[in-house]
Amino acid sequence: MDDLHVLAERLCRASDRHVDADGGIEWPDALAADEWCFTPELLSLHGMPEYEALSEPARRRLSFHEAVNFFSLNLHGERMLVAGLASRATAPEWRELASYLAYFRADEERHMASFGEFCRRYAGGMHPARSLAMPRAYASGEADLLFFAKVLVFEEIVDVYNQRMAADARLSPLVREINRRHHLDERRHLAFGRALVRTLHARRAPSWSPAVVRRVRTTLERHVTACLHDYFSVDVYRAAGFGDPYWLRERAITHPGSQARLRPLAERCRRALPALLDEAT
Amino acid sequence: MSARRTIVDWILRRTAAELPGGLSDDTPLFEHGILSSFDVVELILLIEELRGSPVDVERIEPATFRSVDSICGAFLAPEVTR
Repeated sequence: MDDLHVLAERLCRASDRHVDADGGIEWPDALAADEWCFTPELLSLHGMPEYEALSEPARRRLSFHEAVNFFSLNLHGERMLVAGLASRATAPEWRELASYLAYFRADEERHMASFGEFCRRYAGGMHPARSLAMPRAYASGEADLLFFAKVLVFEEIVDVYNQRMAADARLSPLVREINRRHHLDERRHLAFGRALVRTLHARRAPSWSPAVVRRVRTTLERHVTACLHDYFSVDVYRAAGFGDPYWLRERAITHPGSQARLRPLAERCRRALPALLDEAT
Repeated sequence: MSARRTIVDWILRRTAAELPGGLSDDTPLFEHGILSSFDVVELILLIEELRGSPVDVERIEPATFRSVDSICGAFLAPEVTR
């Protein structure tokens, strides 16, 4: 793990510099009712007849609910990430990376505080999580690899949204700032995650049976799909006043415009996990 | 169609597992690889739609989803129909 250890030390120093340079977020008492909170072209209903039929104010309100969903997804994902990092904090096999894992965990806890604050202040709370980990057995090293690979997939997708929205001058300054800060931290997490997953895979995969290799690939392919589908939320559609949010979600996921929007996101995940998701490997 | 039948049909459409003997109400869904963790989100959404109220995942144990019987027993009233 020499290269990874060197990278981790560099990321620790970068984390110190970044946290010291960034002060706290200034929270306005309220968001303006007519502010965009999500890039319109990234809205889960964008391009659909239901979206086209919305007035401009209704689209902006929809964007607020999509922002609440986005921040809620991040919060739920980061809660599981923090738990996974904490469980590895004192494990002997993670000793060499313990310093950076501590920074990683601290970053995520800071993010959770921001996302949770936005949802609490302006939406009365976050959207509920619906995932539940079912117990299963793992091959040697499989659990660690899947944990960090799933985190990487989640963060690769989120980073696309963070970058777009941080740069979108149409959006609320607060929303842009939350996305900007998250992107700056996630750059370090992504660099670490990509290197760590490559290392774990190189170390563990040679000992796996073909069945385990297929299982890991299938698990990650399904995880990519599941992460992308999380952006289509019945809670958003219900809050925005749509009558049948479950039906609308099914339509939105399969809409050609949605599929076109999701394809580059899925492709980005595959590029981050070439050894795990490439059947030819 | 009853909610139980809707759930069974959903499982049969969703699973990649071969079920030569069919799906009984007490078949272990996750132990037998009929469903996986990735199916839970969509299953919860289906249950919410069928019963017309949210499911609080924070209060649920994985064993609740063990079989069709345990799912229906935990989430659905006996006479709920779609």
